[in-house]
Amino acid sequence: MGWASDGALTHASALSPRRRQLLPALLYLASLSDRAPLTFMADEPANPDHDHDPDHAALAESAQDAAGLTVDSQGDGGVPGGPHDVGGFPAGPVDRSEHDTAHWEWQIDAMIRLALQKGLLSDFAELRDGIERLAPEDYDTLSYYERWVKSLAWVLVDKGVVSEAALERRAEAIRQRQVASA
Amino acid sequence: MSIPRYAVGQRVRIAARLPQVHHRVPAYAKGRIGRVERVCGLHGEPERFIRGDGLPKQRIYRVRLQQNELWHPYEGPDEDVLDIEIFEHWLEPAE
Repeated sequence: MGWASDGALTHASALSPRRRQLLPALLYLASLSDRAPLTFMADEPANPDHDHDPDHAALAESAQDAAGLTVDSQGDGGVPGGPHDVGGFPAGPVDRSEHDTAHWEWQIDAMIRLALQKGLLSDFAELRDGIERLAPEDYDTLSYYERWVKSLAWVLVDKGVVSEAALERRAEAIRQRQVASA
Repeated sequence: MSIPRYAVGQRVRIAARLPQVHHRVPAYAKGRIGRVERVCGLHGEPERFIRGDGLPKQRIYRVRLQQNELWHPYEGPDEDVLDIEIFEHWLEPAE
C-alpha cells in the first residue's frame, strides 16, 4: 500500500469491479488541471489560501510509533489511512480567520444536496471515500469545496449520471470563455 | 444487529485495521482500549456500502478513551477523556 503520488491507483485496488472498470475515467478526471480541476462548475478561481501542509511521510512514521502498529503488506492493520488521517499530529496553528464562501462554492454545496435528495448519492460516505482517495498532494492543495466537487464528479461518472466526455466538453468550453475574456 | 453487543461501562478495544475505504476510525484511536460511555443508534456503515454491498445499519457506541493514554506526553489533567463514536464491528471485548 502507499500514499505516494500513486495513492489513487493503489487504493483503487479496493474498488468494486464495476468501479475498477471506470478507473481510466477517474484518473482522467483526476488529471484535469491542477488548481481548478472541475472548472465546468465555476468561472471563478478557487480560494488560494491553503496553509495546511503537513509532512505526510513524517506523520505516517509518528502515527505508527504513537499507535504501536505496523503496516503490513496486505494493507490492513496499519496506520495512518491517508492524508486526511492526521488527527493529533503537528499541523501548525489553526487558521481562525473568517472568510466568505464564494458563489461557486455554494453551487457545489447545492449540487451535493440535490444529488442526495434525488438519490444520486446515497450517503455522504460516498463523497468522503472519494476525498480520502485523493493523492496527498491533491489533498493538501485543493480547497475544501474543490475536494468535494472532485469526489462528486467521480461518483457521478461512476454511476453513469454524466459522462466523462460531457464533463470535458463543458470544461473546455469554460476554458475557452475564460481565455476569450482574459 | 438491533441488540447491542456491548454495554455501558464495558471495556472495549478499538480494532487496528486499515481497510482501504472510508471507515471513520482515525489512526490515533486504533488499538486503543476504552469504556463504552453510551450505546448510540444505528447508522449506515460506510465500508460495505462503498464496496457495493448496500448501506447496512450498524450500531454505534460512544467510546471513552483516556487522553493521557492517547498522547505522549500529555500535559493536561489525568481525568481528561476523549469520546469517540465507533461502529460495533470495530470493537472487541477487552479485559
